[in-house]
Amino acid sequence: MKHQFDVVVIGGGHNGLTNACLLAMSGKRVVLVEKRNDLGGLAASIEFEPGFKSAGIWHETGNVTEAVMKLLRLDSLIQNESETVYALGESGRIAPVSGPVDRTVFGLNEVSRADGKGYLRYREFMRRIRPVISRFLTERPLNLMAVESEAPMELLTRALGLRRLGAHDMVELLRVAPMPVSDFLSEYFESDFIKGALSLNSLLGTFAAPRSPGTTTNLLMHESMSGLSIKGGSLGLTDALIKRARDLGVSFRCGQAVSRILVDNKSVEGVELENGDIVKVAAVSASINPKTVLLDLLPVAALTHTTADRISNFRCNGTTAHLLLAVDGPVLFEAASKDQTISHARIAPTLDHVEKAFDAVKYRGFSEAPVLDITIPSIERPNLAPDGKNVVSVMVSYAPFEPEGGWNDAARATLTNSVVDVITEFAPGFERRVIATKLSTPADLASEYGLPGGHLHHGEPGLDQILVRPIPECFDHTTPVQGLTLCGSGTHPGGSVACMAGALATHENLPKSKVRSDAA
Amino acid sequence: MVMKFKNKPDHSRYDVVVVGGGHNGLTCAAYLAKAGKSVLVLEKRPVVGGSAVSQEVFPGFTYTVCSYVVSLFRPHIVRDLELARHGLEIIPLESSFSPLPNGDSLCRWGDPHRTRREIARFSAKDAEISTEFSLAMSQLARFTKSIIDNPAPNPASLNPGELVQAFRASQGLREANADQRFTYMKLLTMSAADFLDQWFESDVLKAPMSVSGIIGTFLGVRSPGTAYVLLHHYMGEIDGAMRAWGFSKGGTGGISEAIARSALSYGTEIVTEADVSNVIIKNGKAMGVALQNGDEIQADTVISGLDPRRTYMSLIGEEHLDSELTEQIGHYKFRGSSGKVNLAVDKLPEFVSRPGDGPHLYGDVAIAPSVQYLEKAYDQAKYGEFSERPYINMVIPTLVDPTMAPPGKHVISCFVQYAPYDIKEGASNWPQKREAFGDAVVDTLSEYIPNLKDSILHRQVLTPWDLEQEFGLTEGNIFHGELSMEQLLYLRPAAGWAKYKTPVRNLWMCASGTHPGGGIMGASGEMAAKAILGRHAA
Amino acid sequence: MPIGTPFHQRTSELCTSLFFKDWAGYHTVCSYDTSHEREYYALRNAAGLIDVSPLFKYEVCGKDAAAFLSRVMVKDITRLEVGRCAYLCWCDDHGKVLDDGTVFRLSDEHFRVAAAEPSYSWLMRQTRRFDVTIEDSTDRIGVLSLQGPKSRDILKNVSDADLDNLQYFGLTQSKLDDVDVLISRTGFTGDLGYEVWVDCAQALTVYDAIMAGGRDYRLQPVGLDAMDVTRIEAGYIMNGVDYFSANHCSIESRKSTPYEIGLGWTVDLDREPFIGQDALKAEVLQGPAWATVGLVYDWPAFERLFNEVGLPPELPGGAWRTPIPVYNHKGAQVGQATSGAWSAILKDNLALATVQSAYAEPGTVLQIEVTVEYERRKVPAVVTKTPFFNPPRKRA
Repeated sequence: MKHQFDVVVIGGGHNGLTNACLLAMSGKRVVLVEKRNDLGGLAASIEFEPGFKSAGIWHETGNVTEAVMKLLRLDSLIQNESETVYALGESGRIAPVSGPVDRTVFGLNEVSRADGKGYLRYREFMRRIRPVISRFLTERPLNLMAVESEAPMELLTRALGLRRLGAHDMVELLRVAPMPVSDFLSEYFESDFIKGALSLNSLLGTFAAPRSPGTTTNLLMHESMSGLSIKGGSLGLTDALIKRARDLGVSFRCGQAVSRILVDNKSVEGVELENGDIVKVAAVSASINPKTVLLDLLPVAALTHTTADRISNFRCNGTTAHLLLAVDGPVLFEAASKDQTISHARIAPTLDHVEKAFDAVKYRGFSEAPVLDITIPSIERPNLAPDGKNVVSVMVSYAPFEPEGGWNDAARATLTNSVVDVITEFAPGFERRVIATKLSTPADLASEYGLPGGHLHHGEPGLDQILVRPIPECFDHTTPVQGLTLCGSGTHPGGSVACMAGALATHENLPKSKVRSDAA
Repeated sequence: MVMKFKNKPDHSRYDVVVVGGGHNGLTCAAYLAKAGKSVLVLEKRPVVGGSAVSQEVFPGFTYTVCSYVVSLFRPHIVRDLELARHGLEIIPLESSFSPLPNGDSLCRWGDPHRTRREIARFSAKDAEISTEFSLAMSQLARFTKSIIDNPAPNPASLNPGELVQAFRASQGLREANADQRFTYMKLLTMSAADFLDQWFESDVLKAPMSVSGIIGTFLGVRSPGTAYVLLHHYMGEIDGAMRAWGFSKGGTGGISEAIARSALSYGTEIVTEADVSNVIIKNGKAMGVALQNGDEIQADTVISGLDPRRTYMSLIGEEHLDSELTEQIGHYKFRGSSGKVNLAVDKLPEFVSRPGDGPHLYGDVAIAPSVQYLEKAYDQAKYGEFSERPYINMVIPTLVDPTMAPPGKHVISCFVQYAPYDIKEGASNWPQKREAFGDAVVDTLSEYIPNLKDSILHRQVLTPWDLEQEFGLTEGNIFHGELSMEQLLYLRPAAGWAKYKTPVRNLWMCASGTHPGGGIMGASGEMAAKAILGRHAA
Repeated sequence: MPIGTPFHQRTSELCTSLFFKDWAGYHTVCSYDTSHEREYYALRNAAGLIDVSPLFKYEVCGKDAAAFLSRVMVKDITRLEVGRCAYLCWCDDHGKVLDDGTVFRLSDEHFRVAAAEPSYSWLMRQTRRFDVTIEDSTDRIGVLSLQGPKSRDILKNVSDADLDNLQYFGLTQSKLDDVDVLISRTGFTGDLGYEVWVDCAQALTVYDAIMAGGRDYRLQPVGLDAMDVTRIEAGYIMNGVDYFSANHCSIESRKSTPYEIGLGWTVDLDREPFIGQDALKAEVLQGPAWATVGLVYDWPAFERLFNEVGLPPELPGGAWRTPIPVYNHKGAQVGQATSGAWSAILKDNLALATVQSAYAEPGTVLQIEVTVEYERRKVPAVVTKTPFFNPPRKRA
């Protein structure tokens, strides 16, 4: 008897939607199962207060590639300009740390000419290494644990790609990649608040701090791939993916979680949903955390001891809390000039601030002076809030998954108040204008979005979990179970390039895009 | 007991002059002298050894002043230089003892079943998995030896010689199977604490195990990149057997002196209290050295046993370097993080958790009661303070080498982390904090050894500032520069200059600021000598 | 420093020779007298009482206990009936043997695993999503092995168990001198025999009762040296002697699959996934590279070699464990004998050897090295099916 569907896609975030679209394009009959009532995962809007809607938790789409958008036929959404993020420092200092290069340099020069120069050098370096980073992140991952199994030509072309950087840049790249981001940024910048803000490009959502070795790799991955953005931001991308999927005939089952993947003789037979429904398919593509898929959804017998052991050790310690604020009126940052509209700002006054905030989370506490990544999505999308009012969305670093004493009301209030206090320091009067707040601790994120440990990246992007993601058996998105594919951020290349895992998991060749000469 | 040398060289010209009589400088000198060169070693201090040195700091008591244990001294160097004949004797450390604040303790022994029962008191699973862990680590340690015993190839070079070297150095990895490579990759990138979390559950065991990953670094046990050093426990070779750590008879100065005797036997001249101010450079070529007192010695080859900053900025001088190399050397990090406290005591220390004399005192003692304790010690140092409750690694060398103190009395050697060079008051203010630092160490130990304070006859406290001022260790870093990925292998001390050569012709480097870096290994000295003699492709 | 077993007070008193050794961290008697001979003959002609408490023991209990053990072991434990034991081995993911031992089924949901190596960590690591608990009962339970033709009579004398109907590899609960014990019809001597499992608190009571009850049957306390000879006669291999646990092998070539050590018969291959299954299936298809066989020395040839130098044949005092090369008829080395002994009752020089599969056929004549007056010589040895000694009373 012919099955109704060819593939079940588990999870309706960006990667799941991308994967569903591409599978549908190749002629498969796809049903996407999402446990929440809405699609979009971390990039789904929620109405947290009557009239106030969030733009999702994960704000950025700066690291989207033309290649994937072209595949999805969504390239019309691409904007050739990355958004401007402002760093706020003590004593009213403010400087942009991303956006069009010339504008950013101009803004930095106002604060420090040395930092303006440093930024140019910084961007130049990122531009020069982009071809290598891009290949690593957007091409089929190599089996690094068994390189001899790869075709020699493939290895040679990849090695030559690295060599084509020139001896100097190649050595420089290998030198800086294992460095802590604090040391790397100090080789380019002087001002503490600029370094603090930039460090978040590496550290946001991770269990790492400025002094942690290896964090420069994350920074390089982020900064060398940035330069584009999506019309409408993260929400815009979600909406476009959903529409494309529907147009392609993808079916959806929302408000349903998958409770089991059915396996017979090492092959997928189907899935069982929470409500007991069974969907028979020969292929399952899972965009949720690989730990959940392999350890919870598969029968025990499907994995060897070694594989189960390895995926159990895949680290997912979430460290980000998310605070939504409904605000009456605009957010007036003291440092902003009259004509400066700040829709994305970071408060990380020094690298030591970031380091100290991380120190606390190591002991299951949280700092009184958290480091903040703040967006005000209602500026670009006024329909997210009533007239004259705003939605403020804050990624708070760092917060433990399970604090000493638990996330009781007192702890939640303390964290919320700390965030409001910090913002008020930089935007006097802010606290008086707060109408409502919604705090999602890492534990809340875990249960709401199905994220083990509340980890936003579906697993720590430390060097060891980047080189092989998540485990050697699944390095190329396949699993020991025939027909089961992994396609979420917990697989290569992680979450640093939007939709890429979902695309690579189809094992299709992405169209090669020209290297942008002015990526900024 | 400590060797004495003359203060003036016999000649004014030599084939080779070695600046710095540390163990690497002496090793390099010995190999070159054995090959027939006339060699002069110039050492600033009155004794040789650099920081592998023993001195009678308090009458009747010999301190192994800085370094105090050895593990990775290359066995082939012991054979090549006949060091056993010259007095080298390394006595294996029998045990690793970890006393705990609550009066309990853990001791790990050579006897596997005894160790298993000890660990089982804290975790039955940990007790058993130790066997698998040791086996896995021993296998990986074998792969690492080929990296340590060969010069580091430059990955950017398309030179066939480099490719051959790369092939040789990677032999271990190529022999490894996929499972082993995965574990190896994890070892190189993870933190010691995270790596151990994958095997063990008990904090009491993980803490002393993880701490080897942060020795001499400015990192914590939860910092990525610290797991790698766990391997060193399984790479130690003493008398051919794979063991972990050992004492040197007479302190680590005993090692340096054995090398010195070997060097002397091949005709090397060693001169102490000779402070070299700079290398004499003409037309980009080293012609000899100039001493502080104005004397000049000519040489065909000059070798620096000093760290990279002293070599490049003092011996050579910025005016002889291009700006890029100056910048690279500027990036090379020191950031000393450790101190040393040496005690002369009039009776054996008694631990609350295991009173009395006993075999648990014959090994090393680690004050590392939990991972949190270690991490908090690190946290404090990040912001410019020494750890109030530091990690301390303590040995009592007189138990196996009674010559180091009068009968019944003892020497206690304590390695301490963290003591950051850059304290918030400024490094030059360290002398004002020296005693407070020493007190923090003694106070911490006294929690475990109540009879300690009353038994102290003399106390020597070495802060990073002291290590810099007295022993020439820039910023008090014991390894001549951090052992972090960005300055190891072909990057140590700078890209393009990692094969012991410097941009000044005939000027070489031979100490821990070159590959493989690290403790008392002799490897840098030996490989520098071989490079100079043309036995490795340069 | 080794510690004593629950029976140490008795065994140490009786061991006037002070010949002890360290078995897994416990003091155990090698021989009570300066020679093991009397103990050996007791095992074969009367009965012997051996303290085998250093075995590692685990109580595996719970709803999923059988399913759990079936996953860990090579044997399908769901088919093991209550009151029965199974001898088997277990492997790693690559089909390499970690250990061999026994699984007892005490009740529907209570199993006991006895192993040569500490195995708590390994077992615990496999419990994910199984409703099962594991207790390390190694120190809680003392074990006495009562072996020999008179063992049943002695045990009937002291316990209330229905021993006439206790089949080979069966087990039963019983009262022995009013102490609750478990009796299994198992042992390492290849003869009629039983193992008595008792809580350590009552260990000495049980010991005394058995010794008293056995006096009239000439029961002897027996040490490991004598047991070692009998286990070779029985053809039983030992972890750490005849094969090595994969956990202890620093090189691949030292590891063994069950098929290579004669334990292929313990493997239930085609069933629900168990650890190592894929690798073992591949091994069966390909054929194992090695086999473990029994060897019987050509006695006249052996005698002749010593005669040539004027010596009577030199036999090792007890069992030996230093490996000896084994050659084919052309003189090429094809394996190694890993343990052996002179069997007084069979009047044969025996060895257990691991040889390349091509040479494993019973009847194949190989050569084994013998050192005579410091010279290395060879004598023929015939591949023989084990057990060498297999008396009907063992199963009767």
